[in-house]
Amino acid sequence: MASQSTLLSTQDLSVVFETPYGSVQALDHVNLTVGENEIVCLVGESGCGKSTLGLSLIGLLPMPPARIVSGKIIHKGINITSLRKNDLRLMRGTEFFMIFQEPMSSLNPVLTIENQLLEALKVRNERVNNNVETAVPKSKLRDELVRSLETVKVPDPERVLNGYPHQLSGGMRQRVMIAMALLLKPTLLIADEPTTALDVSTQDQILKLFKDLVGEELKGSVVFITHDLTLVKTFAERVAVMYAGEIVEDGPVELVLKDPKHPYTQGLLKCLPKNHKKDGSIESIPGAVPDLTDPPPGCKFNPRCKYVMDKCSRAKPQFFSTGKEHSARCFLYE
Amino acid sequence: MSSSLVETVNLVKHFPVDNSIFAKISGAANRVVHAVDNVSITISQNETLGLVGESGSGKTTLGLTVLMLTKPTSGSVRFRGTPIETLKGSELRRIRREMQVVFQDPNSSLDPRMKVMDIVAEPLTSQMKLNHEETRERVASALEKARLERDFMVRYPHEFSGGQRQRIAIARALISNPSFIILDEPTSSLDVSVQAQILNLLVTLQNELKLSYLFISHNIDVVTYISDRVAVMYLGRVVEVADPHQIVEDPLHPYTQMLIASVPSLRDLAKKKVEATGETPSAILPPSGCRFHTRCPFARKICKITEPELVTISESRSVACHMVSDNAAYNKDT
Repeated sequence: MASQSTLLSTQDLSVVFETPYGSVQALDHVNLTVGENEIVCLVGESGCGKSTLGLSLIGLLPMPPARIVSGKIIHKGINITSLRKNDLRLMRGTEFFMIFQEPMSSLNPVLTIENQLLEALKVRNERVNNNVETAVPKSKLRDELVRSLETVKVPDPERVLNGYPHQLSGGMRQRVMIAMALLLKPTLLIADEPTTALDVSTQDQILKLFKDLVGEELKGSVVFITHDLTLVKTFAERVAVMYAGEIVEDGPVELVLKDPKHPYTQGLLKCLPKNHKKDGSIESIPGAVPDLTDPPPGCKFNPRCKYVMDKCSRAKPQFFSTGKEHSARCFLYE
Repeated sequence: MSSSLVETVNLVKHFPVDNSIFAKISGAANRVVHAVDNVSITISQNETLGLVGESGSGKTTLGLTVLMLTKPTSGSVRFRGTPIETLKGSELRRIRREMQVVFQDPNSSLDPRMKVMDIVAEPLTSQMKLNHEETRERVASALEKARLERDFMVRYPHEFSGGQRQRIAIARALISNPSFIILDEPTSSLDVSVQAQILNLLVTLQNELKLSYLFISHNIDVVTYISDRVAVMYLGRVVEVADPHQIVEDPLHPYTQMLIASVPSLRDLAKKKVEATGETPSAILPPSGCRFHTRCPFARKICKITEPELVTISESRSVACHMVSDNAAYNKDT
């Protein structure tokens, strides 16, 4: 979808965490665009900054210790980094909604599911429909809650509504979070590792649910954050691979998975045990992720890269186009 | 197949739900979690048995019971033919020298206040008196086997990365020259590039030292890579044992079929696809008959009444399913 208009973009976004051990460069000049109704996947290993990026998109970065050093986040033409706290709060929920890895920490343990979903519905009605005065009868609201739980395939929604989060399984809690997103109808949904805490058979059901809902009941764009490259192809259209606080490759899912350009993406795909004989020779990426208080000069991947050249440690590569809508931050494609 | 090194015979482990005096009086103490139920597996010399299952399937409990870290409720564990559940004191300690374990999270399995030298030497020092020089030499050689530098022994666990910490745990398991190691999710807390390094190390060590492994994991990609045979567990029971390629390409038990179809990277390989539905029932009151019948698309009347036995279908392959064993019997007759 090339012709779609941009919903949200980050422009040279840099975020630093101040710690007693020094400043950690968590995001380094990140440029990410999310089109209207587009599904973008952010992939990377732990510590690459994918969650920091997700949190900064909805203005939930803990500041301090975090600090936006430079750059803008433009959502529908507004730079949300310059908004006041209260204005930003009014955008959360109806404009941005975030689903986290562990739904138990997003749900309130002392409120029933009904009360929590009702709150979402009220917020939506207040902000969008402005019908705070015209009291909708509670039974009618409850019907809407039941419908939303049915959409996310929660069995016995009436009983679930009267229950508390601890009475639900991890998969059911995550479904409740998705139901909340359905009620709020956000323009941008950020899902940060929503299936990582779940078993594979539950993960499969949640991913299928996502796939069915996106573009149908769930209108809007989705940023899906994961560490698992194998999940990417299940429903995303575009993938951005992150390494040490930078996006290193960006392109259509099929191209990136079939013909990865950046040496890091190539390494990530090669080191999956699938397709290897058991002889102790899986190609792994040597070394470890760099210390972000003192990142290596030039390309941050150069100490681990097998194609490393002289200039890789001297200058930082820009994005070079490697095909249609496919680009990599690597001097190999200069 | 060579003679078995480790064998479990009808191994059962039940945990009481509530052990308080009140529960005993009221009779509630009879309620138990059926963590491991009637499991018979064998592991041969120099073989890797993979154990897959979702959370709560009892795979970790099985590992702990094999090591006698928790006493079985009934059944037997045999090591080189000797039942070890009745052994005590010095006899059990002597056996334990030959059986070691590596856990999932090196942050909790390595004492943060001990130096690497003391951590790695502990399996030796707890069993015998060694002078300082000897201990140093043994630790250095164990670290070398795990591809770590000898100087690391004077440092503390927090100074190392996740992958290095897992290597320290592996060195500790190797120091008593074991013949059998239980690897309980050894790569689950690691990033994929580091996971590949650890898997390579484990395969190389097995070839060099003729080790036998029980490899426990929920990651089917990893298990099928490293295992010679794979056992699938569901709610405390082993439902299928087969070669890794059979598990992936031609799973027989409906649960295995569902599991394989849920893994994004394997879905395309699976011939039979069983859609994932429902959730794992409680292990306190497991379903009658076949424990999978509540989620099985092929469930018949008999499945609700009689629990299927693990039946050997062909060499190296057994399945606990009425449908499969009926088909096998039918094929034999005609």
